[in-house]
Formats: sequence, C-alpha cells, structure tokens
Amino acid sequence: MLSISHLTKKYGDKVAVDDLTLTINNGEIYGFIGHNGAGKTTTIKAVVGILAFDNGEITIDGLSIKDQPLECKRKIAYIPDNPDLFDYMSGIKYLNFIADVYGVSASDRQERIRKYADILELTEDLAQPINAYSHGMKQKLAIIAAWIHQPKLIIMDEPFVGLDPKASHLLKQMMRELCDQGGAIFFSTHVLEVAEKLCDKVAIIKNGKLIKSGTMEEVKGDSSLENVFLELEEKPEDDQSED
Amino acid sequence: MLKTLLKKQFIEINKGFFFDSKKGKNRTRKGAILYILFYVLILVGLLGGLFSFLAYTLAGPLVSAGFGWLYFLIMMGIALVLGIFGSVFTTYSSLYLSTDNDLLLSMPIPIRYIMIARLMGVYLMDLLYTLIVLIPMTVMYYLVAEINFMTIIGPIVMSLMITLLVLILSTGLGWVVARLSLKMKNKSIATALIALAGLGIYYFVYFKAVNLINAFLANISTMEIEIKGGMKILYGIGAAAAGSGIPLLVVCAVIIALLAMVYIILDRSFIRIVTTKTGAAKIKYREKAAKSRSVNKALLFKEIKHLTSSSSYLLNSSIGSLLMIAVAVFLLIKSDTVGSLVFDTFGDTIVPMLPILIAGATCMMTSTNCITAPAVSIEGKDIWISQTLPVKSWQVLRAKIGMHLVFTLIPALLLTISLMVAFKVSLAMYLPILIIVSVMVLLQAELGLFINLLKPNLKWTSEMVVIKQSLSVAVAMFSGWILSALIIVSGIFLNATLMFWIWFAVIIVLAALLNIWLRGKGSRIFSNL
Repeated sequence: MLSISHLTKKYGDKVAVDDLTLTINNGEIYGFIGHNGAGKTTTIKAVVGILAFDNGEITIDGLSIKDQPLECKRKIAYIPDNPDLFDYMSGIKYLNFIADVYGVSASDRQERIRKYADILELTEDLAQPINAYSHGMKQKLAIIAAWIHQPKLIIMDEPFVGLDPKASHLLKQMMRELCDQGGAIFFSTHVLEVAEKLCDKVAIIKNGKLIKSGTMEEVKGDSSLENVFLELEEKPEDDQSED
Repeated sequence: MLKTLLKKQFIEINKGFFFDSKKGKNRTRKGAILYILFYVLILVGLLGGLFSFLAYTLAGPLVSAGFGWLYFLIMMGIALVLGIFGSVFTTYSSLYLSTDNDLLLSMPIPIRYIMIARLMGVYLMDLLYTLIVLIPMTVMYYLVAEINFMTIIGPIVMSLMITLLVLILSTGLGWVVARLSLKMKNKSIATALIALAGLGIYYFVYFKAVNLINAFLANISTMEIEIKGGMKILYGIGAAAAGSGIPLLVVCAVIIALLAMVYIILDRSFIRIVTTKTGAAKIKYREKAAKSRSVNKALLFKEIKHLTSSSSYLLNSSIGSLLMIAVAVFLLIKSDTVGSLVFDTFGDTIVPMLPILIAGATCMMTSTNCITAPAVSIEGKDIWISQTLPVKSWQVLRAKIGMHLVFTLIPALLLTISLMVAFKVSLAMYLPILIIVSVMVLLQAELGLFINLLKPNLKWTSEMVVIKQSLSVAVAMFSGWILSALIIVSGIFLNATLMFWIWFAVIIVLAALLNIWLRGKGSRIFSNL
C-alpha cells in the first residue's frame, strides 16, 4: 500500500531523514516511533505530499507521490499532529467541504457522518463553529474528516494526543476495522504502550535513520517495546546500522 | 520586559524583513537592513513622491499668501483620513484578539505592558500611513516658509499630534467595538457594522470640516475673509502647525488629555475584554439532507466563508466594494447634476478622455479591495488542509481569485455603468470600457496573489498582521493605485483614445502573464509552503 524507498530529506545542511526505507502492506497498522526531532513528522509530510524531498521514492498503491500526487491523495487521508482546521466553519460545513472535494455522494457522506460522529459522540456539536471546539473535539472532527471518503491508507501524526480515554479506545477500534477491510494505517506516536498493543509492525527512527523495523515480535522479542526503544536510543549510532 | 514585548510585536509585524521563507532561516543583519531599505525606498519613493508633489503644489502659493495655516490644515486632513483608513479596522483585533493572549497573560508580565505593546503595533501602522503625508508636508513648508524656532517646531509637534489623534480615534473605536461585541452573537457582522458606523461618523466630521474650508476659500475669492464659528477651530489647528505658540499649546493639551483619557479607559477594561469569552448559545445539530457541490464550488465556498467570517478581513479587504456601490447609487440618482457639472467645467474637451478616465477612476476604486493579497498568508496553520487535498494548487489559487471577482467585479461593473450613463459615453465604448475594468479587476486579484506567494507569512498570532500590516497588501494596493493613476494621467496629457487602447492591450497582456505564472511557478510555491 505504501512504499518508502531510500527517502532522504535535508533542511539546509541538516539531514532530517536519511535513506529511509519502509513498506506498509494492506491490512497493517504500522507504528512509527522515535525521539523528538527524529524525523517522523518530516517523513509523514513527505508521504502525504506536502514536503518535497531530496532523494528516494514514495509510492502509494503503486503510484508515485511525486509524479501522480492527486491520484495518491485521493487514496489517502492525513491527520496532522495539531488539528488546525478551518475555524471559521462549523463542524458539519467542514465535513461537507471535505466530502465535496473527495467527491463523496450526498447519501454516502450523510451516512458516514452519522456513523462516525455518533461513534465519537460529536453529533450534537456538528453545528457549532470549530473555533468553539476543544482540542479533543477538533481531533475527533479531523478523524471523521479522514474517514469520510473511505481512504485506503490513513497517515496520522500523534493521533491520540488530546483524545479522552474513550475516544482513544474508539479510534483504535476504527483503525483496526479499516485494516480488517483491507486498508492500512501508518501513524507516529510517543505512547509506546499503545503502539505495542495496536500495531502489527513498527519502525524506530533515530536522527533521521531507520534503526529497527519489522513485526512487533521481531522488534521487541521477549522484552517490551519501551525497553527496546530505550536501549536503541542509548546505543551509539554506529552499532545500529545492522539493525 | 516592555522592551522585549515591543521587540516581539515589531518582529511579528515585520517578520518578512527578518526571515527568509525560501531558505527557512533568519536573514543576516546586513541582509535585513538592505531588504528594509529597498521596500522603504519603493514605498516612500512612490507614495511619498505623490504627496510631496501635492505639498509642493500647495505650499508655495498658500504660504506666500499668508495662508500657511490652510496649507497645514489641508495636508493634516489628508494625513488624518489616510491614517484612520489605515488603522481603524485593525485596532479591535490587533488590541484584543491576538492568539498569544493566553500565553502572555499566563506569564509574569504586567498586563499594562501587553496592552502597550499591542498599542504600539497599532501606532506603527498609523505612522506608516500618516508619515507618508506628514513628512513631505513638513519638508515642503521648511523650503518655502520663513524659518524661525516656532516655524521649525510647529510642524514637527503637530505631525506628532496628528499621529496621536489617529491613535486616539482608532483605539477609541476599537474599544467601542470590543465592548459592544462582548454582548453580540454574530460578532463578525456586528463588528463590521459598528466599525463602519464609527468610520461614517469620523468622515462626517471630516467632510463638515472640508465644507467649512470650501466656504472659506469661496470667501477668499471675494476678499471677504472672516474667520468665525467652526472655522476658528480649524484655523487654530492649522495655525498651531504654522508655529503659533498658543494654538500649539492648546492643541497639544487637548490631544494629550484625550490620549490620557483613552489610555485610562483601555487600561481599565483591557484584561476583562481579552479574557471574557461570551460565546454564542450552543447550536444543536439537526441533520438535514446533504447536498454535494463540485470541487471548484466547494473551494470557492471555503474562500468566501473565510472572508465573511472575519470582520477584519471583510472590512479591510473589501471596503472598496461598499464604496463603489455607494458611488454608483449616488451617480445613478444624481447623474444629470454630476454630468452637467463636469461638462460645464471642462466643456467638450473632456469627451474623448471619458473612456480612459472612467476606466482609470474605476480601477483606482477597485484597487482598494485587496482580497487576494493576504489570501495565502491568512490560511496560516490550516494550509496543510489545502495542500493535502486531492486538488491542484492552481485550483486553490483560482478559488481565491474567484472570491476577489465575486466581491469586486459586480460593484466595479455597476460603478462603471453608472459613470458611463452619468457622463453620456458613446454606446460603442460601453463594451471596451467594461472589458478593461473587468480585466483590471482580474489583474489586481492575480497581482495580490502573486505578491503574497512571493512574501507569504503563515506564522502569525494576529490575523491583522497579514490582513493589514503586511507588505503584500501594501504593495498590491499601492501598485493598483499607481497603475490607475498612470492610466488617468496618460489620458489627460497624451492622446486619450490611443492611450485607452494601449492600456487595454497592456492590462490584458499583464493579466495573461500573471495567470501563466500563477498556474506554473505560483502553484509550485503554494504546494511547498
């Protein structure tokens, strides 16, 4: 579904992402973890087509994000780390706008808005202006907007930040449901317990380089993901190249 | 502490000078200074030149005839109008609606300092608009007047007083808007209406003063000079600038007292206004049958919704629409009177000039609408949405142009038609004039977008920074004015018919070139912001 091949992104002289290669298959929830400034958001922004990169290739369902950005964007949805939405719209107007742009029919959008807003308990607030929403409510709205066109791949940057425990739980269920239906999820998180329980595969990035990736069992073995992550973080970079 | 806040405010307003968005890093000190000098030269050179010419034309005859006070009165009146126009709509949001209010209020900073820093931001805009007139006014006076201590001090002190008066008027109105909007549900429309009403009152007073001056000038011609009634006050203000000691002291005392009063009012109410979140009553969602729109319509709807939801954006960027409609209605009602007045004054010599003059005058008014110039920057942190949608960047940019056309083209065409009717323009010229005006509106929309794409600012804490205090808006508006002025001047001094068709071709070519740039490089810039 998503293939990142030798991705390199530089900001001036600083290498933010260094020769990163990852593959996310249909049906997989793929966690992306790393310290602050490791290059997670840069990778995610390159994948969703809002950040040009220096080297490498990113394909979504076989299509290059560089060469066919619109076709790629039709297949994906993105939720950034901070849900800055159009504050000047009401929740329902925002959802209708997104549905219009993705060409979701009137009946489909109505059904999906009803379904996901009910699940996330946002229905009553849909007529409110977004600037009256709390951070968590904005995050819920961003989630509904991401699901509204039934994307094949959802890319999320820290999706659980700001969500209450119930909403977090519901989001995890929605993620699993999407993958069970053949979709895929690629998301970054600092909450390692969540990643450990939820993800089928995980990748750990440090200073822009991928230092470990694979199925959860392959990465953590008998230890916990937290222990593995902390060990890898402390290891000098030279010792990690073979991982 | 205050110095730090002022520095933050200054950097925020002038971020474009210090930060290179293309390289993603701060400019060097030398680079920033050169960059500032370049733009100061452009702005001062162009607008300062315009007002210097006006000051030069008025100063000599009026000062030598003993009417130095009248010279100052006219120039200070222009500065006042320009200053109020430049800052009155920005004050409310600049003072009270910054997104970093909570952050700053949570820090150990005296609230008064936060307010003063915000006031300085407003004052900076006020200076930008008023000094363009006040500096040439002062310099030209020094060149023609008899120089002594008072004639040197008078214009300088009065220039300062005019800038403070603009601050008093705009912050006073900003405070009224803030107090009333606390109690209102539909804040953006209410704010817009209150601000417009306030502006209406200010201009009513201003035009009363202009009438008094006109009446006085009529008396000059009959040598029956008598200063009485309201004219005495105006005389005092003008005389103060010309160096009369007592009027100068009185004017200073009045303005400083007014400033102190406004400051005390703001100081006492600032924290309450900033921290009061009245909010509207909760609207419960009731499901309605959904309707789908095409992608382009959805993008246009989004842009229009953004414009109409922000009173600051709406008022500052589309005030020209209101002015054009007002003038058009006035002309349609008084077309005979206005037409006769012009033909009686200029005779038939003006007939060949009418097409180009009408086109130039309408373009001058449409230039006041700067809807696209902040349209990229105002997306701010939300820009990721437009960038991740499955639409071409050009579609997003085209929607911004569409919004400009929706709000500007209809009033512009209405105004053009009313002008053509009032001045009995030949029917054969109706279509060419309407075309030139339409293409000019398109050109202005494209130009605003072009400048904003070159100088975007997506990291702001007050939307006023991009709506009013940005270089993009200033350059777009002044470019429109200068182009319109060139059209008018060429029509007056050169072959009007020939120039009309030359401008017709130039504007179409410029609009086409900008269109090509926006579709190509402009779209690429937008997607990489």
